Amino acid sequence: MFKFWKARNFDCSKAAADLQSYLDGEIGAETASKISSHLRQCVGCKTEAVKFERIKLALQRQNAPVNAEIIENLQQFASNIADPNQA
Amino acid sequence: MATETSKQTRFHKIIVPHTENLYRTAWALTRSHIEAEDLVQETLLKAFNALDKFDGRYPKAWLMTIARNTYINKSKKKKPELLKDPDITFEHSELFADHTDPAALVVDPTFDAGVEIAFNSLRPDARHVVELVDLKGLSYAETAEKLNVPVGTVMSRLHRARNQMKQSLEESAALDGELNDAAKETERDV
Repeated sequence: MFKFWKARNFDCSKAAADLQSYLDGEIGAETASKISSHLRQCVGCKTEAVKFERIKLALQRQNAPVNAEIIENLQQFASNIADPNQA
Repeated sequence: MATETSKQTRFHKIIVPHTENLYRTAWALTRSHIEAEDLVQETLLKAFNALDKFDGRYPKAWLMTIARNTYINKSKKKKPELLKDPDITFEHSELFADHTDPAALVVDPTFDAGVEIAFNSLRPDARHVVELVDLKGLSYAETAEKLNVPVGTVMSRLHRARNQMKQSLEESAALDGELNDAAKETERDV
């Protein structure tokens, strides 16, 4: 409990201010290292980091560059698995 | 023979239609067309081999779970090499360790739908910055140059937009479970 309280009060506001830049790799090595240490100890800040990453990855999934030819090839691959005589 | 034909028909009917969704998931995980194709092929093979044990309910979720597990196993095998790679920061490998692996982030369609709504609710200028940084992969400086605005403006627009999306998702009762699960998992790890 004390560890949690201490970590939360160490520099949460500073970590929060730089968290997105940190996740984007847009921050200096020294600050990145401080935030990294903080995230290892602080439940609240790490949860925030995970949330931002979840949102970003969901966006990337929805916007994945889908090539019709690739999908067609994969569907053909799937058909061949089901019926190897057609290959 | 009849059983085999039935299995083939079942595979065509319930698995093949999800190929595109499976590819999108694979691409979000790997960020590479070649690796995504490999992952989809491996997933389809595993799905066919395990089809007799599958009850037929929620085929999409079943496929995504196979893809996710396959990706995690492949990543674990690669891990020793990855950690030696100076381009991959220790900080990020720590953040995504185990349960916070990004693979866990792409299997819930409800969450995806909520993210889409939150994204489309952003103001056009905010949405544009998110597109450039999160989807096109531009740096802050490149985004600033493209939009002809200072880097500080990019940062403030981007960070505000993401906070707005996060807040919108947190306020959505449907997404509480998803985000609370993340909190519980993280708490357990500390």
